[in-house]
Amino acid sequence: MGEGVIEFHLDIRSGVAPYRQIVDQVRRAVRLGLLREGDQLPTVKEAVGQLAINPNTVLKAYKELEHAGLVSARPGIGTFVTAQVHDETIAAHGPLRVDLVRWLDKARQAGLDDESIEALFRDALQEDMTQGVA
Amino acid sequence: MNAVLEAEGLSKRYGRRWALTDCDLSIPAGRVVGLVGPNGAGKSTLLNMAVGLLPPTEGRLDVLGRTPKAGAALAGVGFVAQGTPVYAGLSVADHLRLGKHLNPTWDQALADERISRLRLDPSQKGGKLSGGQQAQLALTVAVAKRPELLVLDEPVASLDPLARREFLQGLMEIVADQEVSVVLSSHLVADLERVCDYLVVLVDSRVRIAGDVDELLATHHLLSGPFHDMDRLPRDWEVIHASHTARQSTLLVRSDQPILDPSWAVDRVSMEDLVLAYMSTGEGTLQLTGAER
Amino acid sequence: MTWLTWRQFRTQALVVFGGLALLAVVTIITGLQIRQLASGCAAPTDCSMLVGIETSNFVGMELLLRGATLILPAVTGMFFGAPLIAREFETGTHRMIWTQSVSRSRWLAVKVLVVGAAAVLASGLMSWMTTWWFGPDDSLQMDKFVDATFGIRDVAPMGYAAFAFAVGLTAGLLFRRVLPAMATTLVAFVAVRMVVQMVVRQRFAAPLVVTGAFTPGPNGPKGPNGSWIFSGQIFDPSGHPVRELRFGPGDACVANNSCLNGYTQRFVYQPWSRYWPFQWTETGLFVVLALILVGFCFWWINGHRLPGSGPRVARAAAPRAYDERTAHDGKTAPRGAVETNQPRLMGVDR
Repeated sequence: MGEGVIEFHLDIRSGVAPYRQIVDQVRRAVRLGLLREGDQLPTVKEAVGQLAINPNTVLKAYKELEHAGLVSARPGIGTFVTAQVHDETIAAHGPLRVDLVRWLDKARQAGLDDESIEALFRDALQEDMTQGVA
Repeated sequence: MNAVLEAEGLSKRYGRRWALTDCDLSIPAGRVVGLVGPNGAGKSTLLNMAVGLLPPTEGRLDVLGRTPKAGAALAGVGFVAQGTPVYAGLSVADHLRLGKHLNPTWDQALADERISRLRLDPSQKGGKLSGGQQAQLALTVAVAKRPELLVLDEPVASLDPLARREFLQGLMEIVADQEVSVVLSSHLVADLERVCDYLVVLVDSRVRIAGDVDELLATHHLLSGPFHDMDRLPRDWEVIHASHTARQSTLLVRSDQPILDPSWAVDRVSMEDLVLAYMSTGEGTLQLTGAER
Repeated sequence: MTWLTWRQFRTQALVVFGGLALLAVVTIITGLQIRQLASGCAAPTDCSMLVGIETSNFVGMELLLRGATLILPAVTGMFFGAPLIAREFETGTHRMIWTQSVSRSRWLAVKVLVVGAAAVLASGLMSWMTTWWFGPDDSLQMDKFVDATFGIRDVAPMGYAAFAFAVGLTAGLLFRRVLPAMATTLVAFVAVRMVVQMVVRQRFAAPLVVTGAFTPGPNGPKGPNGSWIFSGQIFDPSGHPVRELRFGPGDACVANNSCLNGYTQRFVYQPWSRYWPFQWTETGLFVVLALILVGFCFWWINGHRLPGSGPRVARAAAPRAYDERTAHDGKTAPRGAVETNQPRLMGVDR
C-alpha cells in the first residue's frame, strides 16, 4: 500500500462535491510541486481504499483532470501527471492581474475595506466552486 | 444497460402486516445502490427476497434476469446478511473451503489474498472473531465467488466506527477491482453518502423515491422564503416536505426546472436532507439545513 | 457438500461412535465371559447363573446395555436430527448457506443421508452388541418376543433411530430453535414408540389361539415356547374359567396324581415363528413414518408452495418502473404515472 505519491483526504461536510475535492487536491499538489511530471496518481483502487468512496467519484475527478490537460491515463498502468503548473505562475497571467487591480480600485472606491474585500472574494469563490457540481 | 434488480408490484405480508407494499424498482447495473429507510421499513425483507430467502406474496421480482432461488440461479449473487453471521465452530479457512465446495465460480486466490491483507488468522474459529472481522469474513465469502451482484443487509450497523470505515474501504476496493453491482442497506445516511451513486428510499413498506444520486440532488431544492400558501405554488413543483411559521416557509421541492422565483432563497440539498424529508411523516419540525454550512 | 456435512457433524459423531467403541470393548469382554460360563453347563437348565441373570455379576452390564439400546434412538434423534436445521436458523447461518450456489434440496439431501445414516448405524451397532451379549440368555429364556425386550433387539432399533432422526429434523425445521426442537423430538418419539409397542404391534397379524390340556409351568400354565402371549386362561373340567388351582393333602386326587385331569388351558398368542416378520414390520413401519417426515421437510424447505400456485401478480399492466434515469426526459408525465408512490404532502408545522 502507499504506492501513490500523494494521499487524498475528504471532507464530506464541506458542501464541496467529493470529486471536486480530489481535483482541487491534485491541482494544489501540482502547484506546490508535491506532484511532478511523470508522477503517478493513486490508482482508483488505492484511492477508494483510503477514502471509502465510490470509484466513479475518483474516475470522474481523473477524467476532469485529464480533460484539463493536467494528467494522462495510460490504460492498465495508471494515471500520470503530465503538465507542470509551474507554467501557471502568477507572472503568466498578466492580463488577469491587470483586471484584478482594476477591480480592487473599484472596490476601494465603493468603500470596502480589506476585510470586506477578502470576504466578498471568498464568498464568490465558494459559490463558483459549488456551481461546478450540479 | 440491463437491470440487476427489477421489481413490479412486489409485496410481502407476514400475517396481517405488510412488510413491503407495491414496490416498483428497476436498478441498473454497475451501481453502488444505497437502500435507506427507518428500521422496520422493509429493507431486510426486500433484500432477503432478492437472494431467494423469502418468497413474495404478490408481484414479481427478478434478480440478474431470474427469479431468485437457492442454487445455480444464485451463482452470480453474493449476500452478506444482517449481523454478518458466520459459523462459530468453523475456522476462517473452513469458511473458505465452504465457499470453494459450494460455488463453482470460487476464486481461491482472491479469497486468500483478502484474508491475508485483512490479517485474519485462518485457523481462528468464527466465534472468536471480533464483529468487524466477522463482517470482513462474511464479505470475503460473498465476494470470492466473483458475483455480478453483491447484496449487503446493514453490514456495518453494529460495527464501531473504525471497523465500519475499514469495511467500506474494503468494499469499495472490491467495486474498483471487479465489475460488480452492489446493493447495500443502512439506516445511517452518512455511510451511504460516501459510497452510493444510486439511492432507494424505503419508508413504511413503500418505495418513496429511487434514482441516481447526482440526478436526485440536482432536481431537489431547499427553498426558504416568506410564508406562502401551499395552494399558490407552481404546479410542476412537487413539495416533499414543508414547514411554516407565521412569516416564513421552508420547502423541500422536487423540480426538473431551476427555481427562478426571486422570492425564494434556493439551497442545494444534501443526501441526508433528502432522505430525512422523504422519511418524515410531516408532523413536527424537521430542520433541514441545506448542503452548505 | 459432503465435506461440510462431516465438518459440522464431526463432534457429535465422535462422541456417539467413540462411546459405542468403548462400550463394545466392555461388551465383548463380558459377553465372552458369559459364553464361557454357559459352555460349562451340561444343560441350560443347570445354569442358575444364566437363568435370572439379574442375580449374577453382570447386573451392571445388563442394565447398561438395555438402557443404552433403549435410549440411543432418542438420543440420536435429539442430537443428530434436531440441531441439523434448527442450529442454522438459530445462528442465522441459513442466510449464508442458502445463498451459496447449492440448492436447498441438495443441501438437505446430503445432510439427511450422511447424518441420518449415521443415526441408524449407531442404533444398529448398539442393537447388534446387545443382541449378541444377551444371546445365551435369550436362547434359554426364549423371551425376545416380550414387549419390553422386542424393541431392544435385532433390527427394530434401527427403525426407531430413523424415525427419531426424522422427528428431530422436522421439529428443528418448524421450531427453528434447537432446545424446543430437542424437547419436542423426545416427547413425540416416546409417544409414538409407546403407542406402537402397546397398541399397534399386537395387531400386525391376527393372534393365534390354542387350547389343550393344562400344562403347569413355573409361573402358571405353560404356553407355546418363545411366543408372545396375550392371555392365558385355565378352565376346569366343566368349562368354567379358573383363576387359582390349589390342592391340599386332603384332596382325593393327590393320591393318584389326577388333580389336573380335565383341566384345560387356552392361550391367545403370537407364535415364535412370527418374531422376525414382526421385527421387519415394525422397522418398516417406523422407516415409512421417517420417510414421510423427511419428504415433508423437503417440501417445506423449498418454500412449501404447491406447484402452480406462484405469487399473485397484482396487475398485468405495463411496468411502472421507478427508474429516474429513463423517466427523466424533461416531461412531467412520467412522474404522474407513479403517483401512488408519492409521499403525502407534508402538513403545516404547528
